[in-house]
Amino acid sequence: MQTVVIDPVTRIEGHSKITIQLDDHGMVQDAHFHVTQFRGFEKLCEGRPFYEMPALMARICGICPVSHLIASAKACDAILAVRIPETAEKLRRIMNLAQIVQSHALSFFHLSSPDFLLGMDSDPAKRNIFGVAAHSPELARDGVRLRKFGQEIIELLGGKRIHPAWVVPGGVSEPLKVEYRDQILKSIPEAKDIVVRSLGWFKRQLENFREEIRTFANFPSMFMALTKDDGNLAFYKGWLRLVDADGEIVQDHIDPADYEEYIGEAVEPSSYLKSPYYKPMGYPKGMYRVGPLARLNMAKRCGTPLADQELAEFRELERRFVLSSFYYHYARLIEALFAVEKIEAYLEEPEILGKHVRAYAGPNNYNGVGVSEAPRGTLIHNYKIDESGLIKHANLIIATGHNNLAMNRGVLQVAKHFIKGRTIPEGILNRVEAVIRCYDPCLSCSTHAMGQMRLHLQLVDDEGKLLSEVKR
Amino acid sequence: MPSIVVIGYGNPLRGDDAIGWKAAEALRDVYEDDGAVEVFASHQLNPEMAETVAEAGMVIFIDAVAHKLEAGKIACESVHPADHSSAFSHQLDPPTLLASAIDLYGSCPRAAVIGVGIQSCDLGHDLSREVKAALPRVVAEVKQMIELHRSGKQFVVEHQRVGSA
Repeated sequence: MQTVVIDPVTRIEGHSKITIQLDDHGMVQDAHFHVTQFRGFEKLCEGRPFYEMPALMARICGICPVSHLIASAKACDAILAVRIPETAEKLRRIMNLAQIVQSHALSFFHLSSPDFLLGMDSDPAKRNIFGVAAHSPELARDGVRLRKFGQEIIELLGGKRIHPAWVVPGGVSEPLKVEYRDQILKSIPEAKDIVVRSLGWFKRQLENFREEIRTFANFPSMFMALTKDDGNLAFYKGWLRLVDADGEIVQDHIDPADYEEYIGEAVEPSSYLKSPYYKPMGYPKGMYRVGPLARLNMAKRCGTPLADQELAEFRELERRFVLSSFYYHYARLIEALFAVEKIEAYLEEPEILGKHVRAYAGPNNYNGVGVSEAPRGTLIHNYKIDESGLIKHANLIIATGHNNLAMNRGVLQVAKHFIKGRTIPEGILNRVEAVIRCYDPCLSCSTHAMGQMRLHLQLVDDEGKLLSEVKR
Repeated sequence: MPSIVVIGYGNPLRGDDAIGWKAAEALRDVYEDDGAVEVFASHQLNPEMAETVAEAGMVIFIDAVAHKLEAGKIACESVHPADHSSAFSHQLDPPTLLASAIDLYGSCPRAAVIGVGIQSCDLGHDLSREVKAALPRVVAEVKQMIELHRSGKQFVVEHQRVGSA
């Protein structure tokens, strides 16, 4: 037996490697995705005042600090036991949606579009956003503009693009200025045009990726997401719901505060990334997927006109639940369209300019749970405090963690389909990485660690002897 | 759009790495009322800056330089677009950002980098004594380059200065 190791995995956020074990005939026996970075935020925040958590936890990641701000602030709201002002909730929702847009733009255009435009087997030196810019400047410009749209909203609301401290326990620190609202509204039409244009372009590319669609983590699994009472798409507030691969509800109306009853976290010795699972089914049978594909599979409707049109078309892909993880990319664009439409809708409501944006209280609960939908999926922050309001215990379950079991299974599926023999062409290695990219994993978040993702692929024999190795 | 763009970048929580950021903050005060100059303080250069760069008449980057310069020394040099082959795509260096401006928007301006030799990038808000002393000289250097650019002269003379505060 031999093992192939891809180290580092490229065009994702953080450090990881993939190992693939081959038998004596060069056939894939097993494959694993390992996350090789660690920081330990849950531990280092112990002893800090709970109200510092949003600003502290936002530092987990430079890509999705807003998601952590939101979930953390919601956990603190629960500790305060306050109902935050309506205007504050809507402003938080806008910032969360702006985060969805900028993060999805980064994933689709900067990280994955090189594969779609230039091909999985194209020259790896050019298979990046600069290669896209040289080949199709309009597509690259659209990616840059769309990400900037989201970042500018975050900056206008929060004062800066990365690590804004505007979301606080009890609400937000400042109301929205009229000129900022008008500035954002002015930029909506262009953002909408970009997403609609990109959706059209991507749908035309799908025909070229039939084999990838068929084999990229395409298997039955459960899905989990926040869902509104009416069953529509939710990003900020709702009940947790799990459904199976046929769309049948497995567990519904889970109060996010009760997440520990339903979600367990397994630890594997080969990775710093934990493997959450649905407790009633046990580990690893309780595998589920979260994120754009899960949210759209589960949502009755998005709730905005253009996104609902696209969702209807999306549902026709497989005439049932969409199971191929390749379609995460497609779902990402539909969510970006929803986010742009919804931001516009919130900004057109008069109360968005309200001045009452924060509720004040001391700690009223010793335990607080905050859940929201981050770009990559369901994000859970849970803090326990002592009588002085200092953090005694923190637990974070991050979207990328929820997807860990599915990512591992996806790597195995792709490896088994594409790897035939001991010599592995670069384009095949890229496909093994690309199945991970479908999930857009953020390993800084998921291990609460810092750094960029690199790729390391090793081929080892059945005695563990290293036969070949690729590093980027 | 502003005709002159100044971008100071680095991590404000990593000691001397913050020199670009702090210089940008000081310059922002200097040019607050000057509509022709826009100053950015940023953790890193990223593709979203390409449009702003492409539309400018001149760009000045300010960055910390480890190893190649003594702490507190300042080096100025022209910078030109360069090919890029990075596998990472949301973090750039000045030549790559200029090349991205050309690829995406068809043009890039004259540009220069002011590098400042650093002592330490350990965790913390404070600059080392040497780099702190260099801060006003970095600001003066940028102001001089802007004046030269406005008077139509060569705006960067490549040099290294050992600063005596």
